[in-house]
Amino acid sequence: MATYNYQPSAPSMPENYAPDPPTSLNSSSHELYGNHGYSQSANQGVQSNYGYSSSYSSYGYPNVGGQSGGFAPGTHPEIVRSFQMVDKNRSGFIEERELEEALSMNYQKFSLRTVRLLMFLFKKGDSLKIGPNEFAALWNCLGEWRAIFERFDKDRSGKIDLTELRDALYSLGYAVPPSVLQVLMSKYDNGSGRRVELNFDSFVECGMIVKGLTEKFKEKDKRYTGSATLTYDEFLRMIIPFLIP
Amino acid sequence: MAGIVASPNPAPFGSVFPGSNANPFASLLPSSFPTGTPQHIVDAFRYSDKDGNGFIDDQELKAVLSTCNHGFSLRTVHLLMYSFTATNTRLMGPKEFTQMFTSLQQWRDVFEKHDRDRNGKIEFHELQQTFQTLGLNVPTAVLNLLLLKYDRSGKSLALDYDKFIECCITVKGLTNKFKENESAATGLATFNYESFLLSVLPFVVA
Repeated sequence: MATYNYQPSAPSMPENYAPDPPTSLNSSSHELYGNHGYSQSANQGVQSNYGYSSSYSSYGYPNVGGQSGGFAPGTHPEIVRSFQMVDKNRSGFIEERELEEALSMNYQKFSLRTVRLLMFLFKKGDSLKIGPNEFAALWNCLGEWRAIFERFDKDRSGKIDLTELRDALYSLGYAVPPSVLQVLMSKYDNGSGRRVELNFDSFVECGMIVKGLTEKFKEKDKRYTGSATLTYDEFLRMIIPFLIP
Repeated sequence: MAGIVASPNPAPFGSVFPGSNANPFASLLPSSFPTGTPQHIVDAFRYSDKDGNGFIDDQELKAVLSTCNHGFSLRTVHLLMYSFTATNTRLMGPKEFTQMFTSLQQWRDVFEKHDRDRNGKIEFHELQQTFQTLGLNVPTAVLNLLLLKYDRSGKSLALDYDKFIECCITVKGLTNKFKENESAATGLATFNYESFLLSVLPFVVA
């Protein structure tokens, strides 16, 4: 079991973000570039921005500008770096194996099932790949989940139980009935009789399932009545994408 | 179902199973073999129940299904257990096991009937017909979605027996959930937030 590292490695929410001084950004970037052999032009582009430290967006992120490769201005350089590191053919898109690689470099090893779920929720249309801005949205989302996980793992065990899960989902605006939580948690019950607890990977998976299905439900209940009426076709089409092997 | 080995040790008189064939009260007990259960199913149950606790758990079921020359995924096992016990506890007693066993035999027949070239796989274009044989009218848009789920490479994929069972249970199970909430007048189903999640989650989390 990987040791649980409490240092958030994804950028935290913008309001908590304390801009690092350019020197510390430089030292980490040197480390990464050295290990991963970036092309010279990419290095220069990003490094020169750090050196000048003049163009900061309102969130305090250095403005990556023209070298961002499709990322919106103000995207955190670590996100750009992670994307570019796995997009080896510079296609501007990454598919699930590359996403898995990016995630395991910065977090822990995520199960392929969670990776696929993330891919499904953040990609546009029928594509099997995600582009820079989808990747950035996914990364920020994971950062949020990480912050929530830490906040609700009150005993710092590195795991979240059913009550903590309920509270965590509630804090995100999802009032999940206890009956539903039971079904969710049963997936992770190994039959040993011990209380079921989730690690971060499983927590993200649970959260994404609830988020995804709730959003689908809300699309069909535009007047917020709490009820949705569906055709057979709509019903199946809503759910089948979540049945990810 | 080919490959089930009969138990080498016939159960002694005074079987641990309260609902053995001879028991006239079998139908009143929570989970027992219905009267007239074929002996080979009873034997299959005993063979599968490795820890002898009177129940079959998911690992035991996976092990016994996998010995029948197909590797069964744990997900398919969970789906099977859910459909025959209507719970997420992943334990099966004799009664549920018997129902499942019979269903698997029926699915096996359907699979073999549609696997015309006997390569152990059903081509995707045969799936719609297969569903119809099982009484399911699956819209083409849904079949395309299923295709997208199983065929990530873009090459035309066929379903092996395990995936076929997974696919059938899922479509059949979700269809039943829909029907439970369907209004006969409109053909539409109404769910509230909780009933929606409770209906679909067992298939998502299997």
